Amino acid sequence: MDKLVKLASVTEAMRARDILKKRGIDSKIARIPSQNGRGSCGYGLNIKTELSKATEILSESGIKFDGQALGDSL
Amino acid sequence: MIYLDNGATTFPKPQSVIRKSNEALRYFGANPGRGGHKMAIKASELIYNTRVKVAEFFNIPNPSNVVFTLNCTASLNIVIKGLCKSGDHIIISSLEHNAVLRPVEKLRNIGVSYSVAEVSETDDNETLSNFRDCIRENTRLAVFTCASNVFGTRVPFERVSALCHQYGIRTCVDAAQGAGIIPIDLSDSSVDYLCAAGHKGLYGPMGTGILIVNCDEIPDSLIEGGTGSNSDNYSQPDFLPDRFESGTLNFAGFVGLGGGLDFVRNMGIANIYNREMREIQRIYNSLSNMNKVVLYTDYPEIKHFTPVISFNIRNINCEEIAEVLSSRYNIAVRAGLHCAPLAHKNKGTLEIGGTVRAVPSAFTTKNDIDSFIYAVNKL
Repeated sequence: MDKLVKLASVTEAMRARDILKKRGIDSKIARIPSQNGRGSCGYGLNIKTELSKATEILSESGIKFDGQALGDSL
Repeated sequence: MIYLDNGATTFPKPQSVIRKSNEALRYFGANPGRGGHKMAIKASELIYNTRVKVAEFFNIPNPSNVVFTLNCTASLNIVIKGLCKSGDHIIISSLEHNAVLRPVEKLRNIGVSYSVAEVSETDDNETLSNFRDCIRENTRLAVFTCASNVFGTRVPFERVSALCHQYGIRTCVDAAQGAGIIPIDLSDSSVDYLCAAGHKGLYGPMGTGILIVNCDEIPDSLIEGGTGSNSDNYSQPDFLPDRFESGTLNFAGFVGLGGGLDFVRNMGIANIYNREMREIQRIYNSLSNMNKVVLYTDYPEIKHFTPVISFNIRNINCEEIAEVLSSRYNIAVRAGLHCAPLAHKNKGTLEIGGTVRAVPSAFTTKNDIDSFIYAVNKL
């Protein structure tokens, strides 16, 4: 199942992607659907695997994110 | 044409710049940060790549702290007006361009005061002392150039910034004439905000400016609008770079700027600087042997100057000199006050309408300089 992590902007999403890549986690830039009518026009990362590790790395790097899975919550 | 007006903008641009801008327009011309389709993501990627290059160039860890603006003037306005409020005091230098002087002067209308610190041509300690003498209890910001666009005089910006930090004063450096010419390393630096032009020493297209926020204080926004992020929020984003990037970027310009940064990196800043300074020193030596020529600085030593030279010919208006150089010898220089009345006032050239300014670039050849010297001698 695709896991989506929402970042503040497309710039932050690309920064997060590069940080994760250096740590061996692949991800893809994606548009994030709004949730309950809020948070539209968002960019984030589609992370196929190791979501927990990914979010841990992002937190360590000081990158703010909202993590969610399509249909699931972190 | 022999182009010696590189202080206004560098010409020609490197092939890498032209190629990248061309490709951006031709193949990837979607609006970056506005959609999720392949071309929009690719356009966003290209912009991000330039952001990363700028971050690496000035040695900051986070490319999100690199803001793209219309030009260096816009970057300076963001910092000056976004930080200072009624009752604040600002310090500027005696060399400032109107990009600093005018917004600072405008703020007087809302009760912001400013002082001008004299810059010594060859004594950095004296310059430092002059800045110190300007500091007041309510000094909020010191904003100053790293090098004069008229006379090439360098300001010891790291030392001045460190001094200001001792007093809790924010520092903003106008690197319009310095970026790509002199080394600027923001890691472990007291420079809080760096403003630069993309189209001068970085060889990018016009319409590209840079603001680097090198501290944790983000100025208030001057322009609010669409940023392609959090659109359901009626408030301007409080994070970088979006806070200061409302509306559509000069996409082809900033992609091209990436090519300019590649060019400067490949050439090496030290190589560019040393080579251009040798040319300026050669001009200075030749012109100083012409009785009719008036020069306004000491011999331009590398430590204290950037590659800029201003001069006049006795009893001839500077605009006439520039006109004859252009029409008769096909040499491009700029005459007048160069948008820097303070610098000219300091040298006594304000009353005579300014000077003729020549600025080489990485593309200026020995023959260009020979021809320029010949032409001035013939005037």
